[in-house]
Amino acid sequence: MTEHSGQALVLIVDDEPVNVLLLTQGLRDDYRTRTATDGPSAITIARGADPPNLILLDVMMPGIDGYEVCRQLKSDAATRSIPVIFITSAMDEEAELRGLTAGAVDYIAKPINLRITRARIRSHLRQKQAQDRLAKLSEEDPLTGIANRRRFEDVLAREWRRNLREQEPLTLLMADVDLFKQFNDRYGHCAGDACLKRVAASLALVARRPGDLIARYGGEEFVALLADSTPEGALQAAETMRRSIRELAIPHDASPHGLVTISCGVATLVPAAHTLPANIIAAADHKLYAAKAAGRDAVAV
Amino acid sequence: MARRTRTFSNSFEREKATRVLAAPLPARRHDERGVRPEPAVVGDDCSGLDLPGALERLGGNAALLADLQRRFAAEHADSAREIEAFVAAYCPARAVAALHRVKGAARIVGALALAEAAESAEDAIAHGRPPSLDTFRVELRCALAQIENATFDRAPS
Repeated sequence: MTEHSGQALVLIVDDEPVNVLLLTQGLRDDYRTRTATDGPSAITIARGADPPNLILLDVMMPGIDGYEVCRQLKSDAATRSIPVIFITSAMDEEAELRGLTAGAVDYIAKPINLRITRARIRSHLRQKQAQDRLAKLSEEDPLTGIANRRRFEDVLAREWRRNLREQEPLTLLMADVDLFKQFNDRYGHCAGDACLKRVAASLALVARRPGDLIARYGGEEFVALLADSTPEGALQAAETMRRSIRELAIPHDASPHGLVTISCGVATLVPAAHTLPANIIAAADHKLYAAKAAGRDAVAV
Repeated sequence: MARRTRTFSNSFEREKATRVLAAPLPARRHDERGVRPEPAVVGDDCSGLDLPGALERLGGNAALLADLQRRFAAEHADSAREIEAFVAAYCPARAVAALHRVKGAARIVGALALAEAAESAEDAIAHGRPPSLDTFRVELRCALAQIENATFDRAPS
C-alpha cells in the first residue's frame, strides 16, 4: 500500500477506451487507478516512483502483447512482486496457461463482471500485503528493527559480486558493544534489550546514505556495509559511530569507561576471483578484536 | 439477413432495464436550428442489446452502463470503415486488433450480435479467410442505432 494514500494503486493496461472506462469507474470507490494503453508505458509506470500494488493487464495490445509485458515485469526485481491479473477475451486453455506461465496470478474473462473482478482484486491485494509483511519480517531484526543477518548476507553477496565485476573496494564495519554480558548481569535483560535498541538506532543514523546497510549480526554485534566508501571515509564513519554511542551516555557501572561503548573493526577489500564474502567478515572481525585488545571504545583499521 | 429475436432468460425485464437506464442521461442535444433530431432507425433485422446481462455484470450500475454506451458510440462509430480499410490495405494484424477491440467493447455494452460478428470476422482473417464484413457492418450500425435510441428515449421531454 502506498504511504501517501490509504488506497492501493491499480494499474489498468488496455488499449480499448470502453474497457478502461469500465475499470476506472468500477474501481474508483475502492482504489486509486492509473491507466496505460500499451506495454512499454505500463512497464515505465510499474518501475516508477509510485509503483502499482496490482496490474490489470490486457493480452492483445499494439506493440508488445500482455504476455511479454508480464514476462518483463516478472524478470525485473523491482516489479517482480507486483501481482498481475490478465483481463482478456482469449479464454481458451492454451491462452490461460500461457498467461499463468508468464507469471500472472489470475485470469479474468471479458466481458468482466465488476463484482467478481473487485473481489478478486481484493483477494490478491490481501495476499500481496501478507507476502510483503512476511518478506519484511524475514529480513528485519525483531528487537532493533534494523536489517537482520539474513538480509545482511544477501546484500553482502550481491555487493561482493558487483564489486568483483567492477573491481571496486568494499568496506565492512563490525561493531560490538563492550562488556555487554556484564551490562546484562548488572542491569538485567530488559535493560540490555533497551540498550541494544538505542545502539542500533544510533548506528543507523550514521550509515544512512543510499546503498549503506546497517544490520544486527547477532547478540550485541552489528555490521555496516558502506557503499562507495574510501578507507578514510570508512574510518571517519567508524569513529562517528563510536562517538555516537558514547554520547548516548548509557550508564555501565561494570565498564572502566562508566558508559556503554562500542569497539569497531574496519576492513576494506577489493573482491578477487579466489576470495569470498566471508573473507571481508573475517577481516573486519580480526580488526574488531584488535580494537578490543587496545582497551575497547576504539576503532581499528 | 434473417431477423433474430433475443429472449432474456432471467426475470429481469427489458422494459425495466430501459427505465433504470433512462434516469442518469442528459438530454440529447438539439441541432443548430433548435430542432431535436429524429432517433436513428433500428431495422427489423437488428438484434436487441442485452441490457439486463450488461447491467448484471456492472452490479446494476445503470449510470455506468450509460457512460459505457456513450463511450462505445464515440469510439466505434467509424470502426467498420477503419477495419475495411485495413483489410483493403492488406493489414490483417491491424484489422484483427481493431475487430478484437470492438468485440470486447461490444460485449461490455451488451451488443452480443455485434461481438459475434466481430469474432467471426476476426477468426476468418486470423485463419487467412476473407472476412464477412457485411454482417459486422450491419451489426455495428444496429448497435450504434440502439444505443442512440436508448439515449434519445432517456432524454427529458
